[in-house]
Amino acid sequence: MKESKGLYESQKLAIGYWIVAICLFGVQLIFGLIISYQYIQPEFLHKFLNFSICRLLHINSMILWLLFGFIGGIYWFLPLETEREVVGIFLGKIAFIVLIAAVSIVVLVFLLVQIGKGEMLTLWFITEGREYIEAPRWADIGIVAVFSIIFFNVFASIWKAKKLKGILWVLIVDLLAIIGFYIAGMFFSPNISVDQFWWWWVVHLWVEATWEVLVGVLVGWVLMAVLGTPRKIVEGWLYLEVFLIFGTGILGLGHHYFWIGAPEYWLGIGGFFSALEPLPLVAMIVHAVYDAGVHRLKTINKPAFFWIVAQAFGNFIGAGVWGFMHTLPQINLYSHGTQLTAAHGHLAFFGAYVATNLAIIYTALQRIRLPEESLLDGTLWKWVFIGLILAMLGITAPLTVAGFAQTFIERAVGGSTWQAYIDAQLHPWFKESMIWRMGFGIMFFVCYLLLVTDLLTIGKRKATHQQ
Amino acid sequence: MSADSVLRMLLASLTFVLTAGLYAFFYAFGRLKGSFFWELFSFVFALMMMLSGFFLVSCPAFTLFWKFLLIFSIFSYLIIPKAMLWVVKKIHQREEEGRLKTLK
Repeated sequence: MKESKGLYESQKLAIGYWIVAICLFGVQLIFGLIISYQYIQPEFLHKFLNFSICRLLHINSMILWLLFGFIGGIYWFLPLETEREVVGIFLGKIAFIVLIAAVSIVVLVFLLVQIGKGEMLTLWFITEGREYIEAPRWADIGIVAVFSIIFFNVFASIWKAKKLKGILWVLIVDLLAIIGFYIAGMFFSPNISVDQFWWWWVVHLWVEATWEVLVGVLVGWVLMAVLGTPRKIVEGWLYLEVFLIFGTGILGLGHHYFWIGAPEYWLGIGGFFSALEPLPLVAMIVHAVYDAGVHRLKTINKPAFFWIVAQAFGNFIGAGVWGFMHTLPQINLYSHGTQLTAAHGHLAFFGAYVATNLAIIYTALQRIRLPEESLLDGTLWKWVFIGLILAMLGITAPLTVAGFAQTFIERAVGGSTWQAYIDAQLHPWFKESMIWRMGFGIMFFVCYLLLVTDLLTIGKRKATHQQ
Repeated sequence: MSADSVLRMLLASLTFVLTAGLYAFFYAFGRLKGSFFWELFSFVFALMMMLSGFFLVSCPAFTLFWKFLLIFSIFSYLIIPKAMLWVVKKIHQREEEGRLKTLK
């Protein structure tokens, strides 16, 4: 039911999700700074908070805050689409509390039990041990349960409202895929090749395919809200984007199967589709340029608009350019697992997902703090926007240089020997890059603090002035 | 394959997609503005994209299958900006027609 402020209960739940998301963003950055310092000073916190644990928490908190942001986006826009309160919102609130409790327990366990035996008890209650999805199995089941509740909320709301629009169709199918692909990561096999085969379904198909489609849905809603883009245009583009992403992205998964012991044909399949994977991202640039030109940059929400534009370009540069650079097997043979992968990961996640979440949050803030059709603008967000982008480029550039050093010295010249590894790690290209990365990491954290300040204050001063 | 050629291939791959994106950007920008200069400028990047693509094709590390794949990619990235602009314009045109019909 709508309250006096005009917010649905599910929109209030969305705000809760975003508050947790922004807090987890901070956690991600703190652990990121710790590991960047551990690259310079490896003894730092040694045996107390090891690199492996800090890296685990850096990456997992990133995945979680992005997910919290997306879920918030769904709960924010769904009642606007269906023009009614979300069905089963009480269940949604319980899922939110359960998710926070589960995340807190998992993080505490990670910090308290850093070393242990590799047995089934560990797999179920401490960690599954798989890179990026280390959460224990009980938490995995919890994640699937929470997404099932979200699926129920979405499906039941649409069913009851009898408003199955194109965007909602895509959302329903994508939520099913999100649940299905995550389950693929829960199989355990003592055969490392088989285990990795399924693990990549989560890491590639879950994060890179289903998330991209979810982002397409959310960006579509943001475009309608901040630019007034007609629904038919958004839907037409969304269908095309889904077609291109799935057309190139599903078998693009093959580029992860190059060196895990999968059959040789994956080299060809993976290479072919990976070479075409940047196509939808190039197409997105064409659309962004056209739409920005047609609307003559006229918007009622400046920060959201700029973050959406940054999303189109950031996605292309991070995922497309930095991804393709080392995706062909002839090159990947030498560059696999170097800092080039880290550079690609940082830039792609920032461009594709961080930018989207910030755009969604700014879109909601306008609705919460300003009268309808009022312009959301200010000064601080511009500094944050420029600062975060520069800092991220500053993190990525040294990582790329370090990756080049590793590829060249450790792999191509040294032939991947232990001595070659040490030579690459001690090379000035690598060592100095780590210092630069740390410096830009601090800059990123300062910009994050400014972002939090802006999110807490934007629109408020104007509202007070108007009163 | 020499160590130097690995680095060259890395740089060529980076340039290949980066210039494909810049070509798409300036092509769409030029067409939108109706500016022949920007459209022409976009072809500089298209040329750079083709050059880095053909550099990859000429690398002995790639067998015939991979050379065909790379040539296919070069043509795909050449066509996509033009094709996408056509699609985007069509979507906008159809929406405009629908809107006008509703107004009538």
